Amino acid sequence: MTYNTIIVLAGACLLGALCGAVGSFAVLRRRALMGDVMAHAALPGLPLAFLLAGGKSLPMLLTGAAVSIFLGMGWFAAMRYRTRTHDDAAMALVLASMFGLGIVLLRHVQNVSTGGHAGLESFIFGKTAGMVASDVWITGGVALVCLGVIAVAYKELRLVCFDPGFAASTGLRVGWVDFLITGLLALAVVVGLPMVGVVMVAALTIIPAVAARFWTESLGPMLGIASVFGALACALGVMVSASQERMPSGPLIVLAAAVLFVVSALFAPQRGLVARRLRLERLRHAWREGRLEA
Amino acid sequence: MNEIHLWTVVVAATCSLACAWVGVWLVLQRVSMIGDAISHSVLPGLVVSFLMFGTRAPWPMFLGAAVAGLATTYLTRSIASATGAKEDSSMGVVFTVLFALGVLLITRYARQIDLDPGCVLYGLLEFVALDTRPILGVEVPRALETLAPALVLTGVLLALFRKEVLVMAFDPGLARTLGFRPTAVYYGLMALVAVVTVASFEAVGSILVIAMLIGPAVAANLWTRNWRTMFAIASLVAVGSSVAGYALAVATNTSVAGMMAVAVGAACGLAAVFSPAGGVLQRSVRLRAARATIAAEDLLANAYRDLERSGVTSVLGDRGLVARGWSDGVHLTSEGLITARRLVSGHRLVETFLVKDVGRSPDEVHESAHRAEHLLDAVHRAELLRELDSPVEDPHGSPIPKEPSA
Repeated sequence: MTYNTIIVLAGACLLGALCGAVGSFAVLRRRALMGDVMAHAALPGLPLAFLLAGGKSLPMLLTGAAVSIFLGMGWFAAMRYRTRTHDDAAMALVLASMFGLGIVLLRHVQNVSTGGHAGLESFIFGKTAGMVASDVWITGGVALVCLGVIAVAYKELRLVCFDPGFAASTGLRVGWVDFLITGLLALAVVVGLPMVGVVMVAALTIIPAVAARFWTESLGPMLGIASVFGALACALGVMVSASQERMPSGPLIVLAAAVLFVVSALFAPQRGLVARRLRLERLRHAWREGRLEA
Repeated sequence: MNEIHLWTVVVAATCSLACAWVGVWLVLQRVSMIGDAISHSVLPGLVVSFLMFGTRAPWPMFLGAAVAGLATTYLTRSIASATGAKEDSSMGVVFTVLFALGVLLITRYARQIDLDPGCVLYGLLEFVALDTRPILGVEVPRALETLAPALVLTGVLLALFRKEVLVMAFDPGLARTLGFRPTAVYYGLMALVAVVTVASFEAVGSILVIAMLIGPAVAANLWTRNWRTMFAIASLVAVGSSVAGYALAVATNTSVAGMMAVAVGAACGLAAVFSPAGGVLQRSVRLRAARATIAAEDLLANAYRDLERSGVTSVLGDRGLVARGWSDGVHLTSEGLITARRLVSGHRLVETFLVKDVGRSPDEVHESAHRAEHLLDAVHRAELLRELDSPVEDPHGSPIPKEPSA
């Protein structure tokens, strides 16, 4: 393996683990598609940061993306909680309008700037192979911060994820915990965007978490499994991509995650389809033999 | 306005209208994100049908994309029901995987395929007016060949199945008891969404499709509760933001589709603030008015209690006379006194009710009564009076003023 492959592998695995863990909260809170909305809402921040900073410095661009996501989420919350618009409609609206704004601004940058803007569009589809060592450090740093936040707020997060009604009755501010989850998700999306692009980063926050849910009923193991699945999918995707001509890593990562999802959905011991079918057959059998009369 | 401008706007408006009409149902049924999912997952459908038929002719492409769109909704539902995963989770899995498949195929067969993922996102609205063919002697953009039938189909189907879809949207349980086969209606709608999406997105790109599916419906839903009005407003918003978006994009020389999506978002923002039916502004005005009324009523009621303590009103009020009294410099006009008597009477009736009929202790009923007194009208008070056998005193021993005759 070349140095470059190792860098890409390390960065992608970190990103996969981060997205898997953080995405678990979103999936459990039934906001699985929020990562998708955020990834789209980040776009306007990139050209704006480019214009303000006068260049393509990655930290500036990521800050721009984060600010843009924050504003998008603010708009979502305003529509959702201050008007009678429902979750799904507010999400779709923010996603499309913010992305439209992003495209308008990108075009504007192309018009006014003399050069150096090339590559801003690569945020839409991502450029995994273009990863450098500093990206790995940034991803690692963000992952550490997220891990710290999760560890500190673990009890509250768990309560809100599995029984928000009870959480509220104990005096916990569910809104703030949701805000925390949103923040964590936004961080993961922001670092993932330049690596794998809009749709693929959304996929990374959803698929490993949904797959992990099949294997366990408790939060701790789910976070662990989702992280492992995310990292595994990224590793597989990057390695296949590196060994083959014209195989982009972003889509391969998502497809690897899809394989993990299918395996989990079929063969997970309790909630998997095979286990369910077996249970059903056993029940039918017992019924036919008359062992169920009670 | 020259012909190119005109045709571009006509194409955009046709597509926006079709999207907006289907979108009203998506928003009412709370499945808005399916638009996002379908518009992403048509990509592999396009690629596969291109690889199979080797042409970019509209109908094979249309077929491939429509199949992919329907597969998205079908897979989303089946995965959710077979595995017990939440529907939004399984939707997220399905469309991202399909999209990834599409991107992979495009990269893999890049030499054979003349498809650009970027173009799928933004569309080619800037160029639709240049690609024309003559129809009845008029040069008409080719894009309208699929868009116009899609618009007509949407209109006709939604008009024909108006009742079914309406009941589905507002009361799925009722739909089932009436024998409407909700599943069939659901997939019918989703097929329509897929058709509209596919017909639109080559011209306008998937982002504008999502914006136009959801935005006009959200704005209309903020403005009215009536579904006919909702359709009218959604159509107006769709066409209006197409025109406004185009004008803005031309003026600032940016992406037309992007600007239209921004215009729709802005329309929703405006509706959220200025809607006369639950807009933020109207809500805050009403809230302020209500606060002012309650503060004034509290003041009146307190002034009355002061007068009562000084003994003025009990004498005059019981004789049915309207009194003018002074209390610590507060002057009550005749109307003020009438209002105050109503409030205090309501307050004390509620206290009596809570103690006698609900069985709460006299110490804990003041707060509830204090809140309820502002909401009671004459009928409520008369009913309470009858229910409690016309009590003369409340649990604290204060007299309950008689309803003023004026």
